[in-house]
Order: sequence, then C-alpha cells, then structure tokens
Amino acid sequence: MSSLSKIMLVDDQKMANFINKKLIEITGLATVVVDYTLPEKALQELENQKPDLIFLDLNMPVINGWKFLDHLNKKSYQTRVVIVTSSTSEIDKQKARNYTQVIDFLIKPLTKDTILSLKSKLTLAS
Amino acid sequence: MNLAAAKYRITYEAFSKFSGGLNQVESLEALSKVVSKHLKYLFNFKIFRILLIDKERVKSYTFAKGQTWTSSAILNFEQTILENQTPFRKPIKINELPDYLEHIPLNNGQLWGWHLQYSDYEVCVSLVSDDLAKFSYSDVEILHLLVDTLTSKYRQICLNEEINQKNERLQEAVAQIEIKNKEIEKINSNQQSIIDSRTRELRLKNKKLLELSMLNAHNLREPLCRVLGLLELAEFYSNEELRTEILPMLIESSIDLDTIFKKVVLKSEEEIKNYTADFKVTL
Repeated sequence: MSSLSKIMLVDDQKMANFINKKLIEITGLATVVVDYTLPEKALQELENQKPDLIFLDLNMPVINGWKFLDHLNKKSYQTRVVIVTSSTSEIDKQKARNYTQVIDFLIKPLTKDTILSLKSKLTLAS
Repeated sequence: MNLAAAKYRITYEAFSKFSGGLNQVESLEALSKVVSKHLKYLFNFKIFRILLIDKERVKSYTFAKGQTWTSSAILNFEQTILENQTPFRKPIKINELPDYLEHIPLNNGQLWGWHLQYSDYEVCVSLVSDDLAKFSYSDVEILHLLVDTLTSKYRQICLNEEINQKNERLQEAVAQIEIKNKEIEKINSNQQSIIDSRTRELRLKNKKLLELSMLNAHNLREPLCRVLGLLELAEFYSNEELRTEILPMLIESSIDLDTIFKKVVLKSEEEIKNYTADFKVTL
C-alpha cells in the first residue's frame, strides 16, 4: 500500500490534532503531517504546504469547516478533503455532499481501523 | 212566469253578483264588506250573523242595516247550538242579542239558527227576521249556498294569511341563521389565526430546542472523543510515556467533559424553564 506524501490537519483542538497525527503515523497513511489549530493560518499556508489531503474539523470558531471549504472553492484549490467531526448530525453529512472535494465524512473518535479503511479506499482510487 | 220562478231568478242573479264580488276579495276586511253589500239582495233579514270556529281562532261577523261588527265572543244561543247542533226558529227573547244590536227595532222578532260542520272547522249561522223582513224556509237553500261560499273564502284567506305569516317567520329565521353563520365564520377565522400564530410559535420553539440539543450533543462529544482517541493510542505507549504524556491529556479532557456537561445541563434547564413559562403565558 502506497502512502500519501503530506496530510494537513485542521482542528481548533490541539489534542485532536495530536491524536490524529499519531494515528496517521501508526497506520502509515502519510509520510508528513502538518497540523493547524487556526483555520485562517492553514488557508494561508496551503500554497506553501501543497498537501495531498486535508483532515478538516467542522465546529471551529471564526472560520468553521464550511467556510473553510468555501474558501477552497473560491481559490479553486482541488485538494481532497476528509471531514473529521464529533458531530453525528445527519444534516451535516447531507451538507457535505454539496462539496465535490469532500471524499469522506468521518465521525470522531478516529481509530486505526477507520484510517486503514480510508487508506485502502485512497489506494483503490489512485 | 210565476212569482216563485221570478224570485228564484232574481236571487240567482244576486248570488252571481255576490260570487263575482267575492272573487276580488283578498282580505277578511274586504270579505265582510262584500258580504254586507250583497246580503240584502239574497234574502230578507234584520240581522245576519256568522260564527266561524277553527283550531286557532273564533271569529264572528254580524251584519245589520249595512253595518258590520266583528267579534270573537260566542253568544249564549250559539253555545247551545254548538252543543246540540240542531237548527231552530223561535221568538227572540229580551237580552238575547249583544248590546250593539239593541237599537234595531224588531216587530215580532224571530231568531233562526243553523250549525254546519266542515272537515276541520265548524260554523254557526244565525239570523233575526221580523214581520217587516220575513225570512222563509224557502230561503234556507240560498242561505246555505251563501254560507258555503263565504266560509270557503274565509278559510282560503285565513290559510293565505297563515302561509304569509309562516313565510315571514321563515325569512326572519333565515336572516337570523345568516347572522349566526357570519358570527361563527368570524369566530372560526379568529380561531384559525390564533392556531396559526400558536403553531408558528411552537415551530420556532421546537427549532430552538432542536438546535440546543444538537449543540449539546456536539459540545459533549468533543472532549469525549478526545478521551476515546487517547485510549485508542494507549497500546503504542510505554507505561512511563502513558503516565507522563497521555494521562495529563486524559485528565484535561475529562475535566473539560465534566465542565461542559455541567454547563449543558444548566443551559437546558434554563431553556426548558423559559419554554414552559412562555407556553403558559400564551395559553
């Protein structure tokens, strides 16, 4: 299984980024992981970092996940996004379908298994 | 032509004139006028009186000297004839007639009486004759003819009046119903607008409660997910690392969870209190 070269984590909870980063390392989903607790900072760094995939939280102050996705669209960034949220709301899941770059909708807590199945999904797709 | 034939012919002509006059009549007042006008051409009499009794009313018409009196009183001799239903002829007694007829001079006055029973009403006919105005048995036939025609016209007018009265009452009732219907419509539309506004309020409140419950679920799950996530990592850490790195994060997340839990409970209680208070006021 080939791994991605770079994943960007965007979650206002530092600890959430810590956990997800560790899981990505354990599962070997990506070689490099960059994490941001400020979504606006992540947007600024996007061009420099050029990640292959973004893990995006929805519930964040100032710029929430939806606004983040709108910014991506405005700038025509084609980067694929996986939504990682603690919301179990079906409404959010429906809403995510409107964004073509969203390839998966994962509900926290992430486990090794969920990341491994994401990994095989990405391998099959490529 | 003999005398009887001539009399018969004159009477017949008088009766056809009377019938003609009767055809034009539409009210009881007009009826008594026509009778008063034609009566004297049909037979001789001093006083002619007819008493009509049906389920709803008693009415008498007395005709004498071109005058008419209307009343609803039953005279004593009429009471007798109503009971035994036998026609009679007898000399008139003092005080047998009502006061308003006392002034009529009588020469050997005779009182005649007949009772006629129809399907749903009865008639008492009486007549006073004297030596100057002689009524004879041969006049009885024309008298009956007169009474038949007169009473059937009388009944027709009464029924018409009854129908008119009922129609009027019906129209009044219809008007009342219309008024009530309008009132009901007004009440209904008021009710509808109250229901609409209450429904709007309830929808809004339901939406608020739904939002609150979603927010609660999300806020509660966030620190809980951290705890579960950290536990998921546990097997990749040594005991020492667990104690120094993971445990502090578990503690922090647990405290966050507890804080948020308390906050959520407090806020929900307040919201529900507001909600029920509002609801009572609007009721």
